[in-house]
Amino acid sequence: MRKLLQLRMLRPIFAILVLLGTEVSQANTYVKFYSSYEQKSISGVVYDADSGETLPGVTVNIKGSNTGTVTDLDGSFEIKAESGSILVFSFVGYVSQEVIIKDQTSLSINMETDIASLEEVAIIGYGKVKRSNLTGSVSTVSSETLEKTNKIDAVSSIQGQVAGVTVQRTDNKPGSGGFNIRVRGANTINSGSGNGGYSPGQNPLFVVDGIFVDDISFLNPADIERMDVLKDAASAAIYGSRGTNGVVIIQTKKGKEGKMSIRYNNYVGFKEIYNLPPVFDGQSYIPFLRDVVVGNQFASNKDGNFSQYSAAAVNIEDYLSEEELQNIANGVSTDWVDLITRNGFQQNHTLDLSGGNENTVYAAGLGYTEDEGTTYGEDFKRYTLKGNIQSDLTDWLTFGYDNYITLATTNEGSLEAFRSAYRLKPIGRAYDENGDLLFLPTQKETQVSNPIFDTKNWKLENKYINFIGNISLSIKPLKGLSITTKFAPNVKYTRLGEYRGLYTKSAIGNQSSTRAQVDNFLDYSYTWDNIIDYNKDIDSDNSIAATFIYSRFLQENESYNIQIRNFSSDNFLFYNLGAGSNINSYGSGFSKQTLESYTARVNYNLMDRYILTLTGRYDGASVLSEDNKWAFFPSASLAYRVIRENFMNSQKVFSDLKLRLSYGQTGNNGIGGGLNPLGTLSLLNSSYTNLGDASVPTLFVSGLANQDLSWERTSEVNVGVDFGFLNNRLTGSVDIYNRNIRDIIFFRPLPTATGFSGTFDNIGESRNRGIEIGLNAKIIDNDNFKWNTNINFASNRNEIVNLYNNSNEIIFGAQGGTFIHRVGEPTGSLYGYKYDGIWQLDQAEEAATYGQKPGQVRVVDINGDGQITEQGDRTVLGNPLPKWTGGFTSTMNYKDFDFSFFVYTSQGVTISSNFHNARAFSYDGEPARLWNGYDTNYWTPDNPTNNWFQPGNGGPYQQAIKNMDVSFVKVGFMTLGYSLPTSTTEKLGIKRLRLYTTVQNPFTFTDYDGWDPENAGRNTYGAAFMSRTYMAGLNFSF
Amino acid sequence: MKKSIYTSSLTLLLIGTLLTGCEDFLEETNRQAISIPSSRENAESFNQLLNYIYEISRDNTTRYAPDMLYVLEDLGTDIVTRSSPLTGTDAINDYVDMNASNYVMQVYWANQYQIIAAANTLLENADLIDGVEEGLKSRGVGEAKFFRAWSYFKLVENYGGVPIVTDPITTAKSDFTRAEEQEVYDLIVSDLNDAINTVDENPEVYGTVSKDAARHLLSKVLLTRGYKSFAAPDDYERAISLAETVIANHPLEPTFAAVVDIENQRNDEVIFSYLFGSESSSVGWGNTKHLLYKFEYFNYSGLERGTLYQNGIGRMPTPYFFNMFDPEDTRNEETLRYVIYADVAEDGLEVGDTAIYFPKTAWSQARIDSKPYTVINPHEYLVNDGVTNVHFPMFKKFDDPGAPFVYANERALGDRDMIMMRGAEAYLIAAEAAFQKNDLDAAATYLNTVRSRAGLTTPLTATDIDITLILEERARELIGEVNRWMDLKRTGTLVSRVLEYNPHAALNNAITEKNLLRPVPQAEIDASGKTISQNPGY
Repeated sequence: MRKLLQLRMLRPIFAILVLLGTEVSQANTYVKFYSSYEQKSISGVVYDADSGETLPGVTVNIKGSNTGTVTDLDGSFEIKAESGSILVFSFVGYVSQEVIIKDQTSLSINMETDIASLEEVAIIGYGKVKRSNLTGSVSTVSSETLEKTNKIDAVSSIQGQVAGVTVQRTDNKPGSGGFNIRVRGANTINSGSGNGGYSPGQNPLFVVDGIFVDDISFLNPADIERMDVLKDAASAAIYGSRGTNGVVIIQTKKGKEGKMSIRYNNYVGFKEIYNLPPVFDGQSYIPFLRDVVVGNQFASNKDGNFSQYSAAAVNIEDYLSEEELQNIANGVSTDWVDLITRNGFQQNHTLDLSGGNENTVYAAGLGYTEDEGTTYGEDFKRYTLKGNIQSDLTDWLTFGYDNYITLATTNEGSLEAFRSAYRLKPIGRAYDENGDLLFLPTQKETQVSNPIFDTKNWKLENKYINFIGNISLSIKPLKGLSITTKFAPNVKYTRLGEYRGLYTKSAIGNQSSTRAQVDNFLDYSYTWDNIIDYNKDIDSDNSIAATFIYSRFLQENESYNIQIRNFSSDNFLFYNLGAGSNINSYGSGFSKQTLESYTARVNYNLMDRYILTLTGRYDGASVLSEDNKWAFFPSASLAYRVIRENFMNSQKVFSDLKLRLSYGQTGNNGIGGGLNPLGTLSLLNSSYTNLGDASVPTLFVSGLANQDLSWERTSEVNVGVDFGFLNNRLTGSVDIYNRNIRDIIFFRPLPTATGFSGTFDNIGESRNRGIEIGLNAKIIDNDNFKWNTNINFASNRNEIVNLYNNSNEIIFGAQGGTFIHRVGEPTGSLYGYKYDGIWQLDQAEEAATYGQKPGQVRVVDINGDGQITEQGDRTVLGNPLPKWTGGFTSTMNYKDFDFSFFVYTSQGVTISSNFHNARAFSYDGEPARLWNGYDTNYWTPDNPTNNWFQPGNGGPYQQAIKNMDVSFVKVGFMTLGYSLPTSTTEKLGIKRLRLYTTVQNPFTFTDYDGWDPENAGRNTYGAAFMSRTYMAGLNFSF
Repeated sequence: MKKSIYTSSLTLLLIGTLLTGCEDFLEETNRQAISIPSSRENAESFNQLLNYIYEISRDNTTRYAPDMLYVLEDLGTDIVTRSSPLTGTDAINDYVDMNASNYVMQVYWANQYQIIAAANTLLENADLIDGVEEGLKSRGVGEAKFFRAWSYFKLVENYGGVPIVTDPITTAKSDFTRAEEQEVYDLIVSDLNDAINTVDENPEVYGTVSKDAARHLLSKVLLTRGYKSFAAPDDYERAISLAETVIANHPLEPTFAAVVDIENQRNDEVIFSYLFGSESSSVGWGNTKHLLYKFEYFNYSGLERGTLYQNGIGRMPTPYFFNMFDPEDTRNEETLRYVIYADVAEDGLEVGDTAIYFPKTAWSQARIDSKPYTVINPHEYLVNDGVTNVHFPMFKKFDDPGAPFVYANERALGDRDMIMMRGAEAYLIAAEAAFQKNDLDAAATYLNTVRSRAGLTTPLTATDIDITLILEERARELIGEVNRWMDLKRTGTLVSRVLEYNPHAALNNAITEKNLLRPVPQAEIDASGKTISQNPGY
C-alpha cells in the first residue's frame, strides 16, 4: 500500500513535467519524445469503469522512465513506447493500472474508482463519498499533513490547516487539552467562559472512529489516518443536535490488505521559551520605583502644581528595606524566569504493523510520547495502544473490532511559579550568601515566595486511562444493502492528585496550609448506531444511495473529591491522606445525559453530473425540558459537476469545475452553551449550618431554572465552487455561507435582585457570514524539483440580528472584562471605555474637569457631556474572535530532499491583555511593595508620550489601554527531510527511510508585547511559556 | 444460507427498532439534588429552608466574597482606615473614583438579595409544605422576615431606594425598578413588627432569632428613620421604648473584659450571635473577625505566622481612634494589644519575651535602644520605614487562639461566636434617640451606664452630651462589631468626620455628599436593561 501511495504521489509530477516540456497549446495532447530504441506509437482511450465515461487528465507513463503524457478531454492519449515496456495509467481517485506493451497499437482502459484513496474521498458522517461527488463543505487533513506538522497533540495538527477552522491554544502546559476551536466563527459566547471570552464548551463535536468524544488529546497524531471537518450545516446536519459547532471526524489507521507492513516513526528534540515580554531587571527597577513614587504624588495632588515632583528628589530609602538597599548596592539582579525554566526534552515513538488478506485486515500499534515543559516540574507522558481487525466471516457477514487505549500522566508542576517569577522584584535574591536557596527573596516580601521552591514542592499530577472501542457486525442480505450495528463505548478514568508542600507560595511555610487534594472522575459513555445502507444503480445514468440510522448516546459522569490540610511531612504527597489533620472539603457528583436520534440520508446521482443529498435527523436530548426534548433537523445539498458537461470539452481553461449549493439545519441542546444536565429543573441543594452548637441541615434553591428553554437552531446556506486550472496544477475551492442562529442559548445575566446571577435562556438571533478559500498550486514540478503550495483563507462576519425581550443589548461579564451582545455588533464584543491617549501636563486643567490628573489614561467622552460615565461613554471595542485567518504551507522537493514550512495567521482579535493587566503595574499604589512590572516607554513628566500611562497614576480608566489587538503571524514549522532513494531502499529490503529535522513554532510576528498572543486573555495562574521546539526524527517502514 | 441472512437482518432490525420503545431513555436522572415539589412532601423541608436563611446570612456577613471582609462597614470612616502609607488612592477608603463597577458594590448588593431570596423561598413554601406544625410555621415565618428586614436595612442605607422583592423569582425577570426609600423602610418596619409578634421570647435553640433581636433591630431602624424626612413622629420614642425592653432582658456584664472574654461569649448581654462551631460541614467560611485589624507582625524578630496573632490582614484604626481613650478606660487594653510576645527564638529573643511594644506615650530613642525588642512610638504607626507598611497595636478583642493561620481568600474557620447585637448597643441607641429628642438627661444616664462599666468614674452630665460624644462612645464600645459607616451616615457626619479623622481620605479629599449613597452596581443596571437607575453623581 505504501508503495502504491508513493507511486500515486509521483504521478502528477510526471504529468507536470510533461506539460512543462511542451508549449501550452499542446498541453492537452501529447509529448514527443525521442529514444534510440525502436519505438511504436500507441493510442487509446481511458474510461471510468463505473460510469463508462471517458476520463480526461489521466497520466500515462512508461514505467521506469521519465516519459509520459496525459489524456485529453476526450480521454484519448497517444504515446510512443517500445515493446515490452509497461504503461502505467494513473489518476487521482482511481486505482492505477499497468499494461504491458506487446503488439497492441490501440488500448481501451477502464479505471476503477479507488474508494480508499485518501485525498479523493470525503468522510461525511456514517459514510463516505468520492470527493468529486461531495455536495457539502468538508475539509480533509490527511495523514501526510499530520506527519508533516508533527505535533504532540492532534488539535495542534489542524491549526491553520483548514479554512474556516480557528484553533486557539489556551494553555501552553504540556499535555493539556486547552484549546478553543471554532468552526465558521462563534455561535455564542457565554458569560461563564474563561480565557478572554472564549469557552471550550463550543468546540466542535469530535467523532473518533464513530465515537463522540469531547477532547482528542488522548490520540497520538501519528495514529490518525485522516481528519475531516464538516463545516456547513448541511454536512453537520446528520449529527443533528450535536452538529451546531461543526463536526471533526477522525479515523485512526486501520489494517490494509496486503503483505504485513511495519512502520516506525520517531522524533526527539527539545524546546526553549521565547517571545518573553519585557520586565525590569535589578538596575532598571530603581528608576521605575522612583517614577512610581512620582506617579503616586501626581495621583494625590490637590493644588494642580505638578512641577514640584521629580524622580530625582525621591528618596528610595523610604521605600526599600535595608536588605533591599544592600542587594542594590551588591548589584543583585535576579532573573526569576531564567531560574525556573529549562530546555524541555521531547520525544515520540510510534510503532505499528498492519496487513491482511482479502477477507481479514488487521492493524496494531504502540506509541510513546514524552513532552517536558519548559518550567521545572512540568512533563507529560502518553502511552497509546491500538488494535483493530475487520473480517468478512462470510460473503454476507462482516465483523469488526477496534480499540484505542491511552495511558497518560501529566505533571502540571506549580500553578504559581510562572506568576511568581514575574511578580518578584529583581532586587530580591534566590540564594543567600552561602548559596542556599532563600524561600522568601527578601525578608520584607512575605506573600510571594521564591518560585524555585514551587517547582520542587508543588505537585499536580493528572493521570488518566482512556479506552475507546467499538464492535460491529454488518450484514449484506442483498446486493447493495447492508445493515450494520455498532456499539462503541468510551470510558475514561481520571485521577487528579495535588500536593502543595510547606515551602510553596500556597503554604508560605505555614503547616496548616499544606494541602493534598485528590479528584477522581469516572466518565462513561457509549454510542450505539444501527445503520442501514442501500445503494442501487437504477440505470447507467441514475443511481441512488440511502442511509438510515437509529442511534443512541448515553453519557454518565461521576466525580469524587477530597481535600485534606495540615500535613506534618511533605513526604506523603497525596498518597496518604490520613496523614493530614484537617478535612477541608469533600464531595461527589453525578450527571447523566442521553440522546436518541433517527436519521435518514438519500443521495441521488444523475449522470455523475448532478448529485443531490437529502438528510433529516429527528433528535431527542435529555438535557432539555419535558416539552422541548425533540426536534427535527433537515438538510439538502446539490452538486453540479459542470466539467462533465459536453460544452466544457471545448474549453481549455478549466480542468475541473463543480458548483455546490447546500442548506441545512443543526441544533444546540445547550451542552455546548454550558447548560448542565437537570439545568431546566428547579432544584434544592443541601448544606449545613450551626444552630444551638449542632450541625443542622439546610436546603436551598441551587439555581434559577428556565423550563421554557428550547433548542438553539442553526440554519445555513452554503454556496461553493471547486475548480481546477491548467490540468489541475492549480486547484481549489471557494465557499461562501450565511449561517443564521436563532434561539441562541446563553447564560443570561439577571439582576441579582432575583437572588441569582442569571439563567439559561434563548436570547436572540445572530448571523455568521463568511468566505473560505482553499488553493493548492503545483508551482514547479519537474523531475528534480517540485514545489507545491497550499493556501487557505477564511473571513467570518458575525452579527447579532435580534435580541428577544425587547432589548437591544445584553451586557455581561466574563473573565477578561465586560462584553456585550448588541444588535448589529458581533456576538460577545468587548465593551468598555475607548482609549484616547494620556492626559498631558498642558492639559491638566481639562483633565481636572474629569477629575483626572496628567499622566493618567484619557478615554473618549463619547456622548461629549464633559464627564465619563458607564451609561454614556462605554462602547464596543472589538471582538475576541479573529476577523480573518489564513494558513500557508509550502513544500519543496529537490531530488531526495524535502523542505516544507507552514505559516498561519489570526488577524483582528481584540482582547483585554492579561500580561498588561497583571504587570502594568502591581502595587504601584504602594511603592514599598512594588512588584516587578512591564518595562515600557511609559509617561513621565519628562517623557510626554501617549504610549503608556504614568506608573502609580493610571487613573480610573487604565483598563482602556489594556484592551489590545493581538493579531499574529506564526510560523508553525520548518522541516528539512532526506529520503533514501528507492534504489538504496530496495537493496536494503525496506520500503522507506526518511530522516528529517524540524523546528516547531520557530517564529512569531506580532505587535503584541505580552506573552503568547494566542492566549493573551489567559489568566497567569497556572500559565506556561510559549516555546519553540527543535527536533529530528525518522520515518521508517518495511 | 439465505434463511440465516434474513434471520440475522431481521434480528438487527428488531434490535434497532424495538428498543426505541424505551420511552424513559431521555428522562433525566437526579442523584444530586431534590426537586421543589418532592421537598414539599416532607415537613422537615420547612426547617431546612429556614436553616438556610441562617446559613446564607451568616456566611454573607462574615465575608462578602472570598477575599473581602466587612469593607463597607468600617473602611472609609473616622475610626478605621486602610493599612498603607500615606500615599496613593483607594476607592473604598479614600472615595477616589468610587464607581459603579467596583466589585464590592456588586458583591454587597447581591449578598443581601441572596438572603432576601432565601427568606422569600421559605415564605412562599410555608403553606405549601405538608405537615408543618403551626407554631413552628409562624415562628419560622417571623425569623425569615427578620433576616429579610435586616438585609433591606443594609441595602437601603447603602444604596438608597432599592427594588423590593418579596416573592421568589422563578422566571428570567430582569426589569426591576427601584422603590422609594420610604417604601423600603415601610417593608422593614412591617417585617420586624411581624417578627416581634411571632418569634420566641426565649428561643430553645441558642443562635436563633428572639423577640429581643427583632426589637433591637427595629429600634435601630426607627432611630435611623427618625433622622429622615419621612420619619414617623414617634420613631425616636419607639426606638427608646424597644431599647428599654431589650436592656431589661440583656443587662450589661460587670466588666468590659467579661464581654470580650472568649470563655464568656454566651453571656446575658448578648442578644444575637452567629454560630460556627468546629465541624467542617457546618462551620461555613468561619468567623473572620479574628483576622482583622492586624499588621504583618511576623516580619519582626521573634515572631512568625501563627495561630495566636493570626494573619496580618489589613485595615487599621485611625490615629484618632488610638487617642480616644481616657487613661482609666478598660476598653483600650481589652480591645487593643500593646505588647506582642515572641513565639519563636530569634535575634536574642526567647519564646515568651516581649517582641514588640507600643508605649502609649512616646519613648526616647535612648530608652528604645536599650531594649532587645522592637518599640514603636504612637506617632510611628503610619510612618513608612521601608520594611513594613504600617504597624500599630493590633486588635485582641476578637482573638480566637487556635484557629488556623489562613489568608484572606481562604476559609477562616474561626469558631468563636460572632456577636452581632448586645445590650450595650441598646443603651447607645437609646442614648442617641434621647439626644435627638433633646432629652439630654436620659441620654447622659444611658451613656453613663456603659461608661462606668468600662471603668470611667466621672459621670457625664446633660451639658456634655453631643453627637460627637455619642459617636465616640459607640467607637470605644463597639468598634469592629457594628456598622460604623451606617452610624456616620445616619448621624449626618460621614463627610465631615471622614475628612477630619481618616488620614488617607483626608489626603485625597475626595469624599462628597454623593458618597452618602453607594453607586448601584453597574452590572445590576446592565442586566436589568437599564430599568434600574443610578444614584446621582456616579
